Amino acid sequence: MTSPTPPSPDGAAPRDGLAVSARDVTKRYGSGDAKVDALRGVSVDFPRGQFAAVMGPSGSGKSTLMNILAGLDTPTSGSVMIDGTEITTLKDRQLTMLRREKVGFVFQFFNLLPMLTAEENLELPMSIAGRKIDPEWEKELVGAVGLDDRRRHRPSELSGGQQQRVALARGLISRPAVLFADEPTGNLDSATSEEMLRLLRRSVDEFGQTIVMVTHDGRAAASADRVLFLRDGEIVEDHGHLEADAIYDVVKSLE
Amino acid sequence: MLRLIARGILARKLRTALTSVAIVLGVAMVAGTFILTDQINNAFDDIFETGNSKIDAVVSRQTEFDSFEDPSPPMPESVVDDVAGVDGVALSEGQVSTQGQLVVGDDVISSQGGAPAIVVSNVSPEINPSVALEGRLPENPGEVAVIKDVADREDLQVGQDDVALATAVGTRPVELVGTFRYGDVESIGGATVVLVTLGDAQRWFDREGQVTNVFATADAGISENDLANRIRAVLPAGLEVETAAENAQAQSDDIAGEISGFLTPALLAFAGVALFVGAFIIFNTFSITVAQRVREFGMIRTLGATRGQVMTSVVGEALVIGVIASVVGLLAGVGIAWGILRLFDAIGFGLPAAGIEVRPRTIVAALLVGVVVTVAAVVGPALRATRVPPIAAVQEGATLPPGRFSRFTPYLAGLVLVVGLALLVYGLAAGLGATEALQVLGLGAVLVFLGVGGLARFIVRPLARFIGAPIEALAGTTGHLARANATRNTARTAATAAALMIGVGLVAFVAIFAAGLKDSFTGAIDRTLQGDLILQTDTFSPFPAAASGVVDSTEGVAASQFLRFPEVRTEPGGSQFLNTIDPTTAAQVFDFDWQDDASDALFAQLGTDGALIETNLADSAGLATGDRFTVTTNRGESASFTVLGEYRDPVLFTGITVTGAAADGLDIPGDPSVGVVLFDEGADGDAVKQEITDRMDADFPTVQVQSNAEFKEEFEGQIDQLLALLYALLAISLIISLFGIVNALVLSIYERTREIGMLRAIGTTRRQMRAIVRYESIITAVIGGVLGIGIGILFAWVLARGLEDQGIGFTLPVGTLVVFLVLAIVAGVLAAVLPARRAAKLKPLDALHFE
Ligand SMILES: Nc1ncnc2c1ncn2[C@@H]1O[C@H](COP(=O)(O)OP(=O)(O)OP(=O)(O)O)[C@@H](O)[C@H]1O
Ligand SMILES: [Mg+2]
Repeated sequence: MTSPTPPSPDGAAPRDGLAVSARDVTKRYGSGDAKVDALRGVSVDFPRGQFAAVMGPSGSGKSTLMNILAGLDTPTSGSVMIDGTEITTLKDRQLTMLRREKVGFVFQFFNLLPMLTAEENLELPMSIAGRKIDPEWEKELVGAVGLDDRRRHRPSELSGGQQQRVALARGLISRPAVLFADEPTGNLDSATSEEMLRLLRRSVDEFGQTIVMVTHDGRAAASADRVLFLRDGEIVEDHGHLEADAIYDVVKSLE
Repeated sequence: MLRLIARGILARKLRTALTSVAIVLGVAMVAGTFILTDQINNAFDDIFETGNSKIDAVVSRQTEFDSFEDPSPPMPESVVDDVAGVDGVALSEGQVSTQGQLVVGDDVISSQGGAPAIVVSNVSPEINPSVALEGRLPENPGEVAVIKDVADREDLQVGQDDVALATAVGTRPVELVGTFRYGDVESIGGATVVLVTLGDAQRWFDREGQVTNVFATADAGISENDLANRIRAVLPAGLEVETAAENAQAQSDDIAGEISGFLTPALLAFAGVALFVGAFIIFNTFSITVAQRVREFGMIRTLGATRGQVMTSVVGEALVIGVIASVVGLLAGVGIAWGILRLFDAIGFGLPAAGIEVRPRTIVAALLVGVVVTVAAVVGPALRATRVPPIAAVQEGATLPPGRFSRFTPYLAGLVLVVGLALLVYGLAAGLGATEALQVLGLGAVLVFLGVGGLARFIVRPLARFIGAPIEALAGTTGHLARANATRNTARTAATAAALMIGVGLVAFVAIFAAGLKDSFTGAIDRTLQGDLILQTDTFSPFPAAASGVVDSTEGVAASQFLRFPEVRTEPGGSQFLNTIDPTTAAQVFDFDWQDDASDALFAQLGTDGALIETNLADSAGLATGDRFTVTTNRGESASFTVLGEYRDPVLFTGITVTGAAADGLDIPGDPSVGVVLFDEGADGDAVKQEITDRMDADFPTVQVQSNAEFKEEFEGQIDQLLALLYALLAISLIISLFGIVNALVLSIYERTREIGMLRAIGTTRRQMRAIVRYESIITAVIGGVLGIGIGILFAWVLARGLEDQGIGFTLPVGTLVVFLVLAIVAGVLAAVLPARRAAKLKPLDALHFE
């Protein structure tokens, strides 16, 4: 069941139909003695509608990879396409526009604006882009994350789990091509984590959302369709859906 | 602990720099004030000392007090011989010193910056402080020499043939035979100084058989004191003798008294405002950083630091900033001194200034003030830092515990506000002396600012909603976020805005007060003066009495009044103006606001024994119709008058009004300060005005002929110049408060790094990021502007009410206030430039990593 070699998708193959696609991505921090190769040539594709989990030991490059895939950081070399657009050559403004259209985020620290209500927070990506909110979709999302009676509350009046649900709804409000989540359950207790994962799963199943999630938690990764393992800046394992126990085995084998 | 402080300052370089600016500018104002006034004092010392360096004693007329209209009263020329006859006098010589202006071609050469135009007679070389530079000094009738500075400024050439002197008997052509320096200086504070022969000075300036000073030198072996004593023995009553040193000292002291009595405190008051604003900003900055460093304080507490050590670390940082800023401020003070001097020059108050000298007193004052203000402003935040418990080190999102007395702060602020208002009212109503009243008012104003500053956070929210509404309507989400940011920490926004409020408040106050002043003055002219023309010189100094002949012999003039306003002392009543009128035409030319049953009929009854008094004098001196009172002039002449009636005119005819004949009886110089001309009914006004103007230009070119409207305009222009000076001095405080906004924004942005990263990640463009910061800055600035304008209106209203007796009204210059609001918006935009750029530069990624 192990496929020890990282999948090396054929460079010539058409990359459409993919939500995100990376080719030979490297990332080097610093130079000389202090240099760190955070990514050493990563190529990976995420088809539309896939829920992928990225795992690996601390410092293996998970966050770096995710940030580059999301256009928040630029690779030292290699190419990244989001929904058919090459993003490594885009200017800040074009990247911002692309993020508005195609990318959603859920962060470990929920990152809600404390002075806005839950509803205003979740609408933020649309209002900042000056785009019309689809009221049906908003209603569906609010219902899905179970915040109907909390719309007018401020983040400080919400529990951590509720805040993260607002953040998830915010990430989905623009119907992005891909939702990136860096340890979205890292700050939640296990019951709230499970709730969160159910919601992520539901958005994939019901709305066909593509999700790339970085996590340390095997149980979180177990709700994904695919589990990738990074070590020292390389993808060392690439699996389909795995159960939590199997995931822990791989984690152990990598340590 | 020291290392911690040093680290803290280094780690927060930008903030430290921005905070320092708040103190640097205030300290620079303090240092600049001292440096400048020392320069001016030194310059005058030099002038008077060199002026007297070759003589041993000076005889002059004894005066009761100094008079603007009569600066050097004359004595009989025979005194020169009396002095010459004294045993031990080597040389005795008289001099006439008076005022008169040089005319070149058609132009009257005015002194720079309101300095007098001095005409002085030449004396023998043995005692002459003036030294010819080009050509020579005047020896023969019709010859003049001018001081080097004026010759250079006006590009005068020795031998030039179109030079004349405006004298009491008309314009006299003169021959320019030389330029000179006075002692060691080539300029006496921008004054036009013209040397003429003694005979010309006497003939031309109404001093026949008179001199204004007698200079004496001693025979060898006789001391100055000895000489003065010997001369004193022969002097007639009413004259005094001083040694040359005493005389120089007395003149310097006069100037020094004026500088230390007015200029220094006035400039220090502006420095005080700047420091006050600076203190607000330091307080705010440290409040913010202390709040941001809660975890750090908790951490050092867990490592065993005591509360005292926490306190030390915060106060220590302030101390270091205070010292550095004060030193920089001291150096900047030199620049400020230079700047203020230029400023005075630009609006027409030229002042002589010697080289820069930084006295120990200046250094001590600057450093002390800077350090004390900085440290005092930080005590509050430092005390709060000590209340951070060690547990804060491990709490996510630990916040600063509220101060022990925070529950009471609104009440305290309210109390301070009420006390401040009470002081304002007390200062105006209690009839205090000018100095005490100003001190009480100043303290009241400070307390009002503090009180409003303390209460401001309770109205930041509604104000921001109101101010933000148009921004939100226009800009949508960015506007909404900006408004939300501005109101998320109301105390911070309030303190930031309060710093601006102080400067704006004072600017608005002076603007409103000036508007009231203008209105009351122009209103008084409209009410009281029924004439068609007003005559005066550009410096409001007296002009030759003979000029009245020009007016009276012009066709189309129905009546004219040539008014003198000498200062006199009355018993009871103190210092007053003695307005002199011509009773024959007064009823035609003036419209007095008579009280009780007084009327125009009184003019005819004045004679040389009657007086009309203004109601303020009647009230303050307890005088009523029928009472007698005594008037004493600067020359020591006295006369008694009977009060015939009362009128109200606190602007133009304050004090006492008597006939010109009565003034002549008091030996008051005959030169008028103002003329009022009434045209014949049906006369061609423009033609009459033109003719008077032409004839004045020919014979008395210093006299300005203006319609009432032109005169009012000129007055308003002068007020505007004064306003410009005040604005410029207050600008420093406004600049400081801008730095306060910059600082608060930078700190807020630092604190919101992660939020900004999130905003950028979810699609906020850099431009939008900048807009969010800019709008927040505008909202803060406009809050400060609105509060400031409100306070300015309050101050001006209170003061106008208090000065109602003086005829000062309250006028709201709405247009000006709107301009101030617009400027507040501009200030907000400017203050946001740097912070907005920093916010926009944050990459979404940096922001996400940020802890
Ligand atoms: N800005 C940076 N400058 C220098 N080195 C960096 C930077 N960011 C990350 N690195 C290094 O790159 C490597 C990968 O870091 P990354 O944050 O991607 O790890 P990670 O897998 O997300 O770890 P964790 O599970 O701890 O979050 C690490 O060695 C890290 O030290
Ligand atoms: Mg990571």
